[in-house]
Amino acid sequence: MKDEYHKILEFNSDPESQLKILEEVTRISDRVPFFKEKLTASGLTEFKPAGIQVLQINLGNLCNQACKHCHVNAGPAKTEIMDLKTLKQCLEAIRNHRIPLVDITGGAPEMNPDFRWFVGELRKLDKKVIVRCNLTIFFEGAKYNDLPAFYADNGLEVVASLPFYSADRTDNMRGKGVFEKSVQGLRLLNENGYGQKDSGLMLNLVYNPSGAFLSASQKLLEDEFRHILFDRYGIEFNNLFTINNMPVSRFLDYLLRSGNYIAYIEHLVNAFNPVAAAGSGSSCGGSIV
Amino acid sequence: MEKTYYNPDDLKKFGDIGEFQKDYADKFFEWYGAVFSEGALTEKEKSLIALAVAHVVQCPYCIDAYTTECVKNGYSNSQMMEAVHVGAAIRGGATLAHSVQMMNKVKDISL
Repeated sequence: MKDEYHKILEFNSDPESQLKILEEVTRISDRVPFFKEKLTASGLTEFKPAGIQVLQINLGNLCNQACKHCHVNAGPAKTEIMDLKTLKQCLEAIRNHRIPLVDITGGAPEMNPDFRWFVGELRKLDKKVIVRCNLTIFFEGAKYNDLPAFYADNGLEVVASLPFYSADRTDNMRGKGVFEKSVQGLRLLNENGYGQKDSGLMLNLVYNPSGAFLSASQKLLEDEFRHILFDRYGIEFNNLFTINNMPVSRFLDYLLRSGNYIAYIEHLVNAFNPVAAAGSGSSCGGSIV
Repeated sequence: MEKTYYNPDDLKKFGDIGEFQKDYADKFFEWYGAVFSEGALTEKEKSLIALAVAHVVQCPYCIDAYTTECVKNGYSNSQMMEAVHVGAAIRGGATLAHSVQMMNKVKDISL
């Protein structure tokens, strides 16, 4: 279905232009109220900051993949990398504010040359650390081959992206051959104790829809992922988290080009869940990204 | 009046049918919601049945809605196409099964 509005909403990747496009939708569609209005209608107040529980740090946009949905526009040609000086400042902030959980993401965060040093410093501070892993990075050369062992030695929690349990949908989103490599990556993590009973090494998967639709229920998909990944590939994991794609950056460009922009935003707004919003108020209020 | 009989945007107005008859619409949507919630069949299984039926009754709104629902629920392209074939086979089979009536009639009126 082509969206008649896509002609007037030309994608431009700078943040200001993207914000204009996102604001424009409330004018174009009478079915898209402001988030604030939805909160008020549900008897919720605006989100307020609480004590910092989580610091999510993007170590750079360099990545071995160039996924169609990527909301930070990461890829192999990207040069934005967090430098050592900034990482040291982050450590200082973590120390001073007693932030208990550090969530490391990217791009592929492992491609930042100071990644291992940074993890080591966080370990010295006795912080809980999550690494967002794309699973294929393990096969990008000798210096990455031992990452599963490095994760395990440092007790990192791994949150791994796997859009689907079949090759067609995964590869369509993340690139040809990604599914097969991801399966190999998950096997390596299992061999290093991840997702195994009583190992204490958490392996959580992240599903996100491979197109202009929202996720099915987390419970349904988790059951299917668990059943199919184990039966077909012998893979085990702890939890599956389902998320929806942010209508920004590369995914916003896709929505506009495919004519799905307005319909997608309307689906998102219709899926507003006051219970989740109330929960987000407390959890997001404790996060800095 | 629209220039075409079907407008994709009308799917979003499905919930507005109560504007002209609220009581019946409320009853319908309550029943509809119950039908598609988990019972002896899962919500996922029901979405695939709905997709096949949508094709049999040739409702473009239903095809739009339940294709999205099936993709969202993790059905593969081939599973969805097989479901449509099942619907088509029943429809085709129903037509052909009526040919027995034609054959009976031919025999009745023939010397």
